[in-house]
Amino acid sequence: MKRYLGNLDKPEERVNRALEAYQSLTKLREVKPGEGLPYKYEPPHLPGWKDMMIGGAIPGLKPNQRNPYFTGGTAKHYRPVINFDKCIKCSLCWEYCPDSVFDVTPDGYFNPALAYCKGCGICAEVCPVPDTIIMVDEMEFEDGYGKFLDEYRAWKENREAYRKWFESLLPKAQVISVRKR
Amino acid sequence: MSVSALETKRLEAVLKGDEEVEVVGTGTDAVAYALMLADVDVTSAYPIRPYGGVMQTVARLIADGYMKAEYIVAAHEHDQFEIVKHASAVGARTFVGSSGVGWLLAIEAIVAISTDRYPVVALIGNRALDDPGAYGVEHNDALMVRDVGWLLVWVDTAQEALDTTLIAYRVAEDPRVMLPVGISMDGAFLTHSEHVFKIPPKKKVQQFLPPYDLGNRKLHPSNVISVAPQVNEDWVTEIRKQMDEAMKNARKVIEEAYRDFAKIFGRDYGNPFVEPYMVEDADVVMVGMGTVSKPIKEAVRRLRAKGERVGFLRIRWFRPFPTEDIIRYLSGVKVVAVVDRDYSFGSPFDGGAVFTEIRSALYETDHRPLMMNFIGGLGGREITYNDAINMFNMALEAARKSKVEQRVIWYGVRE
Repeated sequence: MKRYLGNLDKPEERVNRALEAYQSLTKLREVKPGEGLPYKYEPPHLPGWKDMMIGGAIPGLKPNQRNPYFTGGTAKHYRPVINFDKCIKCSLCWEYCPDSVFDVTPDGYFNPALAYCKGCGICAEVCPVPDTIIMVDEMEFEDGYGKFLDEYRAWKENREAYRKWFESLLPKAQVISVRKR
Repeated sequence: MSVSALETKRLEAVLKGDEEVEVVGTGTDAVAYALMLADVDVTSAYPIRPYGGVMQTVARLIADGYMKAEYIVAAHEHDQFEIVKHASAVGARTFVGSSGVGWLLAIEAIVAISTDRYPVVALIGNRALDDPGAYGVEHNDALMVRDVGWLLVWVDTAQEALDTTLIAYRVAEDPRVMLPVGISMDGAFLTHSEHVFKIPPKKKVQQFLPPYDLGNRKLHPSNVISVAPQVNEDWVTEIRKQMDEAMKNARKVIEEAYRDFAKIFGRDYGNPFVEPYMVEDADVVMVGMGTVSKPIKEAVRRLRAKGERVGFLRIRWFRPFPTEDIIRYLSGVKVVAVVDRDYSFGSPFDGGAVFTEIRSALYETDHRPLMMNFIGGLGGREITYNDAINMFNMALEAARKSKVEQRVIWYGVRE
């Protein structure tokens, strides 16, 4: 592979990219029976023609209403991690989030309900404070489907541990607020 | 161009007064006056003859302050029909129209209007499809949408055009229907010919036509809904079935609308779906749509005077198809001769579209008539009184012999 890539233009960059891709794949592992999260298939409710709105119209989600059919949080490749120490409570993430993922905490912070997050990264893009919202590869985390980490609570419980954890994620972040990638 | 002093007086009379006024105008003028009375909110226009006359009259009525509507000049017909679809979705009463190939350029939007269930009313100034180029009438343009949920109606006078436009809004916007209506008008013969007709007072129109109400389907920030979603096989059958029901409901709604129309305006069209003309005890009945009724009725009168038992049945509503009326009027007749101003190449017996549908409806009757089909008047060629007499003579000959020698006749085709 190295020999092949070495004959093309920008050989170093190509080799590095290939290595990066390979390493991200080696993180994948086989999930053994019984190991995953409990999941029971429930066929979707299909209404009859008399019960449907005409013309295929569908009642939409009200502002600030979350999609009740999407609670697994499985769509995202990256998740937002919030540095609450730096947050200025401007509410832009809450305002812009297309899936109304952010819960307002009693002291005015914005805590992402990761089960509803699609990983779009708009929150990190609009956050005006450097290094405050970062988008990190989902592969970095062990929690998932249905039971996600509560970032705000983790921060409240142990600020020092949260700060260290956040700093360990910072070099791996794909999108970092204010900073260019 | 502004309206004359005389017209000003007349328009003010219908907008403010209680009496109808008589005017002279073309078929498309009549539709424009109906739009003024129906308080259409949005109209999108793109020029093509022979529909285009209605654009000009509407523009003039808006410019002179007789009508308040958004007049949007579209980039092309597809754009034109998309504009009214969206306007209708947010609660605007809309009008649109086209002719021939222009109508077909918009076909994607046209289908979406009916499948999304928006009660748009369109004028189709019937025109032959290119190629070869022709400005004259042929019904294939409107018939192209006969299977996709548009109500289709053919008119034969300016008065009927005006009245049918008002009825079209009432039927289309009925919650039991919520489907678009295409009003077909023979290019040149009706769109561009001048008639005397009466414009009813707006007060009566308001009694007849309730305001447009989309209910819970109105797109508005306070009513959050999604429309036109991708639903695939899970939902499509059900949504088509809803349209099937709506189209069947339309028959009842049309009847109610004509009944109320007669009550409020005093003009009674009798049977809403078909116009029977001297069909009682007739041995031969000619059937047609649109202005071909004029020479045929004249021929019927003269042949009746000579003692021939002939009649004519004009189809007004082609969708929903007047199956019961077709059976009632044509069962037991000796020969039914259908004049098709259209073609349907390769259809059963290689006849026209109207012929094929009538034949299908009559399959259920106990006394099936012999059937003939005249394909004629294509590309705007005139069907004259003499032509009608010739057609009747051929049909009477078949009635006497109890045998149809040639089922489909391309009438007047040069050998």
